[in-house]
Amino acid sequence: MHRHSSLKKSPWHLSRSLRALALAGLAGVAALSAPLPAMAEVPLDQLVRIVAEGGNSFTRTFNPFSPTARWVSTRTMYEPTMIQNYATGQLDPWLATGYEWSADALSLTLTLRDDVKWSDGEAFTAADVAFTFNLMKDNPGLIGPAAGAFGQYLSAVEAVDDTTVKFTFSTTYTPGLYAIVDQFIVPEHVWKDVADPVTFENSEPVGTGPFTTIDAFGTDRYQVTKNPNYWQPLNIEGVFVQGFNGNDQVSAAVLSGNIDWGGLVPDPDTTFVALDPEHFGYWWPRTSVVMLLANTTDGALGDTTVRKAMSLALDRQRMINTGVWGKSVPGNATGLPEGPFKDWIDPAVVEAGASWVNIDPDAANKLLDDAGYARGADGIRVDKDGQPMAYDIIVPSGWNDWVSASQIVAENLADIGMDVTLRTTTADSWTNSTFTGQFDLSLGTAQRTATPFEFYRNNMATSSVQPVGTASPNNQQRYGDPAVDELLAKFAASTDAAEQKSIIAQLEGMFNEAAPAIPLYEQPDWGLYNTTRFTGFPNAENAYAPLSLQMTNGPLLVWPKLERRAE
Amino acid sequence: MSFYETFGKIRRQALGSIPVLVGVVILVILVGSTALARWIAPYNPTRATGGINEFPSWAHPFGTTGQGQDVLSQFLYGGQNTLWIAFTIAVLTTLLALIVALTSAYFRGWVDDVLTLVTNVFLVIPSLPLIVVLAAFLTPGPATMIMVLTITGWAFGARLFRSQALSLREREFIAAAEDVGERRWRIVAIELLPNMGSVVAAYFVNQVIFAITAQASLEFLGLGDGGQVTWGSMLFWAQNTSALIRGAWWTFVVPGMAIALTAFSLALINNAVDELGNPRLRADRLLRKAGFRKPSASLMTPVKRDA
Amino acid sequence: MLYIAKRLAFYVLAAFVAITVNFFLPRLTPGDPASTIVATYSTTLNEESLAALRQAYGLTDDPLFQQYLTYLGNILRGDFGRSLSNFPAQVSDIIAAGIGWSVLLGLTSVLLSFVIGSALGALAAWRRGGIFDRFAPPVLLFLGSFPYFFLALLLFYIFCFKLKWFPMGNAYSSVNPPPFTLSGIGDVLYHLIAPAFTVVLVSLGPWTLNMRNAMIGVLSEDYLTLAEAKGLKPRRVLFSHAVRTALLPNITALGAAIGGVFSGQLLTEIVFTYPGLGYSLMRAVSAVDYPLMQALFLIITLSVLAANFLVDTLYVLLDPRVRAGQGA
Repeated sequence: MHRHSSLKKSPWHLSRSLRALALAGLAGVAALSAPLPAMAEVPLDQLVRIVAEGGNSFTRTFNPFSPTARWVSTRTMYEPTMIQNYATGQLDPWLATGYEWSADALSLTLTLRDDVKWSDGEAFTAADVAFTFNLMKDNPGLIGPAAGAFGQYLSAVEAVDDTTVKFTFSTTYTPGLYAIVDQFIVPEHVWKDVADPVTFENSEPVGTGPFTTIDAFGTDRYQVTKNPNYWQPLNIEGVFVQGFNGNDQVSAAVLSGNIDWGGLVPDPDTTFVALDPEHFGYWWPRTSVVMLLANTTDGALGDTTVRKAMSLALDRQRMINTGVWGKSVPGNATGLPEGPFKDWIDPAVVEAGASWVNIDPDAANKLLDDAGYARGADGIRVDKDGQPMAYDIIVPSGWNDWVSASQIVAENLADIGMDVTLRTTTADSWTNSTFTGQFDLSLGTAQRTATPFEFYRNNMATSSVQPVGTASPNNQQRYGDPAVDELLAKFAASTDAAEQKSIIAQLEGMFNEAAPAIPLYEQPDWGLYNTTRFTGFPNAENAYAPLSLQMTNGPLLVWPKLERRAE
Repeated sequence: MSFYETFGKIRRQALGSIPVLVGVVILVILVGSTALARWIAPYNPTRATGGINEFPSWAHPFGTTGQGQDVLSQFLYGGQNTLWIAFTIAVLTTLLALIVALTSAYFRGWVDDVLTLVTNVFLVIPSLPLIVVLAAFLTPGPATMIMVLTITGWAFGARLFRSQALSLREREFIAAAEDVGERRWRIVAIELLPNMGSVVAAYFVNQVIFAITAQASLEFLGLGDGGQVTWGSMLFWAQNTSALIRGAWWTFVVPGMAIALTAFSLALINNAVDELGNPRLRADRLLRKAGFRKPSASLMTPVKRDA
Repeated sequence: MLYIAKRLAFYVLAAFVAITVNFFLPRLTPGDPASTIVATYSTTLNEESLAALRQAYGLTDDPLFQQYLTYLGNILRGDFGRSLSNFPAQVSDIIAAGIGWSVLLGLTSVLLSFVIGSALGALAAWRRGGIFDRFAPPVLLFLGSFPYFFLALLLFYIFCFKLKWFPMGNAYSSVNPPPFTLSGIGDVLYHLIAPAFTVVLVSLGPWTLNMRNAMIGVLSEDYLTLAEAKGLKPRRVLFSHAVRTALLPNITALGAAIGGVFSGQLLTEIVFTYPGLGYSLMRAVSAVDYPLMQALFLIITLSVLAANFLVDTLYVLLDPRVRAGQGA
């Protein structure tokens, strides 16, 4: 591929003759065209150019509570009190310096920094934190990490003094810590006068984050620059968010060197890094597992033996090679990703689980033969009700890695006598079918969380099972075991790390026994960077924060570390 | 000119005209090879049978896709799906347009007024947004594709056929039939319909072109069933796996050229059909010498109603 | 005048039909997608949040007819609600930001292809059987056989990505809109070239062929032979009589072409990341953003209706027969 360094050039980088040629039809205009002065107050070459939001219909709305909030609102404008760092596994202090549980785990105290100011110069205090939580309590339409906390476990939030906030719990629920400290905080002095915070457009945001100033805003790109009162030193001026309509357009921009951070290009070793090994880099750590979900309300799919046989038939390495260009590892029998949960995973369970997560189609066929799922005349097995084992696997059409994995699932299962048809749908139709449990087979992944608690709750607890027809993002396979609920309750009531760890180990064992979902491979968190203009991005050697732009709060950890490279 | 005569003329002209011959040859090759997909396709079109994005080779004459499937097999099976869907849409829209037009011609009066109004409304509403909105609410698949494109694709034909029927009605033989008290349905069925042969045939061919490109556009937008191999879904996948950027142009160019060549060959043939309805062009000796016959203004308005 | 009034009445009716179809279409599909829509956007919702968001999104359980009346009232007031995929932005803001660019690209490409196509057609007819007449029509037919998006992607790859002759996206270089100066306008035109060229290339064929055929028809009319016999120069005959007469059918088709070009243009905009309405439509559809989808469909339809009405009016001015009240 042709290499080029168009970074410092404006789009007017045609040679004179080419430009004249290009504008032949508009000859009069061509003669008068000259490079445009940048309109923005901060020149583009001072800004980190990122690919974070899709499309080119941006609006000047920065309400962080919107379910479809503008990307910058929670990554550069508003900040949480602490940040769960998925690269290090630590809970990093941020607006708060630390937390403390009461002995009975019914009250949580956060100590805040005393040197933080809002971007308009007002002081940030504990009153802002208490206000934010109470605002969410009064307006259930406000969405954020702590949405719904009041209904579930929180009873009151109050400012004890300027730097101390006290959270009172209605029931012991220690995992609530992560939702609470993850909640971004908005300024009381601005939001108290907002008539309807749910539909508030917030076009002039006031936040504690590093970049809060809107200098220039267009429908297909915008720039957000320095908060003059940021509480940490910053070495960069701001970010430039550009919209793209599709994968090709993103790839074209990234490969042309027009992007400093973000984006996804296929097969990055050959298509991307090779172009400029000195500056182009990527880091794809893995923090979640892609799973094959079988609807357990179906007779045969509800049978653990069938699910384990299916698992044995799958060629996970091929899924990894075609879907994610070899940049992953097969999932293990605990369902947990190795990176973030290495301290929680019980090696004994992983070893025992090899009997059903490694590839062995012969063993799979034998398992099904022995369980009485005989093959019919057409080679398709028949379930206990005499119905052929024919299923649809559904997947959203644009999700390449998942579609190619689904295709391989369909092929592999055909080899053990199951007739699986791949159906791609719109993302919405897929969401509808999977949330309401109206599907046979589908792929799913777990939300990133600080502990494995939510993973087992969302995949095995009866509390997360909704009847077919009722929408729920969790437990789409609808598998529930009351014993899991009991263990989870014990975990939630505990503040003892050792006890929590042993509970999780038990849950891992139960997952290995029941196979409520079939782990496929670990999902990479896409992240690319280009150090031609800026340095300091996290990578495998310097894993201080996640590189993925899509991870909530991750970018907040990165901004203070970025530096403009000297010319 | 009866229906049979029309096709007789097409046959005679096809032999005497290079572009039509070119069109027929391309079309026969495309339709023939895709129809034989089951027997001549080297691989299963949905299975990974080679490496990722392999350059064309003896094992894979058209290369492989970003998922390791054989592009030649996909082209063959995909063409089969694309063409039967397009053909069905063309049949249905032509029938619907004929029914509306002949109903207008038969009942006349207020029925004609209402149908004309409905037709004009459908004509003036831009089709792609409507198609996209319709398709978004229905489950992707061939049935949806056929339904959506039929609903949005018939109006132009209805207007065309109606005006053709009206002008035929002015002719002496129809007037004579009316004078001798021939019943109206008989006039419509026996006198009108057969005489619209060339117009209907040309419209039908145009509709196949429309259906192929519209179908591909919808699939490109992700509104088709990506699990089914069609030329449109091949393009969708090529774009989705950034085929061009990665240099795997064959996954993109093969289905694109297949669509364009099919549409092109049909357009060439259509010109011949169309010419039969346009005596002025037919009479043009110089033109015949030049070898190209163009659609008349009456038939092919510059409406690119597909996308 | 009566003719224009009749046409106007027709377009108002067509607009009403579009508005009504637009309302009932999404609501006739089976199931209640509302809660799923809400759930799609947030995975940590409880019932209370769901209800509050439904209300904020304007999803109600009122009887259908009552919803329809509310909807009509809102449209008359220009209130399209808030976008679900870009909440809490007003749908009207999203459309206002994009429509200008779509109209610019649409008008530029329709007019360019009309002018270039008609000129090529006249040329071909004038030199019937010549080299140009022999090869231009099949080449244009072939180009017109490509789906818009295919040609757009190909041109994007070759001219924007590989050769870097044209920008890979956007409607102008700066972030804020460019100033209304010559360099600002030049910048906008420069960004317009690649997408407009795509649309022109695909839609050129029919204009050329129609013009050519109409010209051949006109040129064989007796009065032209007469004019020539009277000693008028051929060039003069061509321009003062033949072209003007032959242009009429092409002008009639202009109205219809606007709708078609608008359709193809949406896909072209997506490929070139041009900030018109194309991407908004695609996103609205994939995210089931009803308010945005409905408003887009409506605005696009109304724009096309308005353009058609303009063409009708123009036609009246050009064709005396219609002025006399014979047109339909």
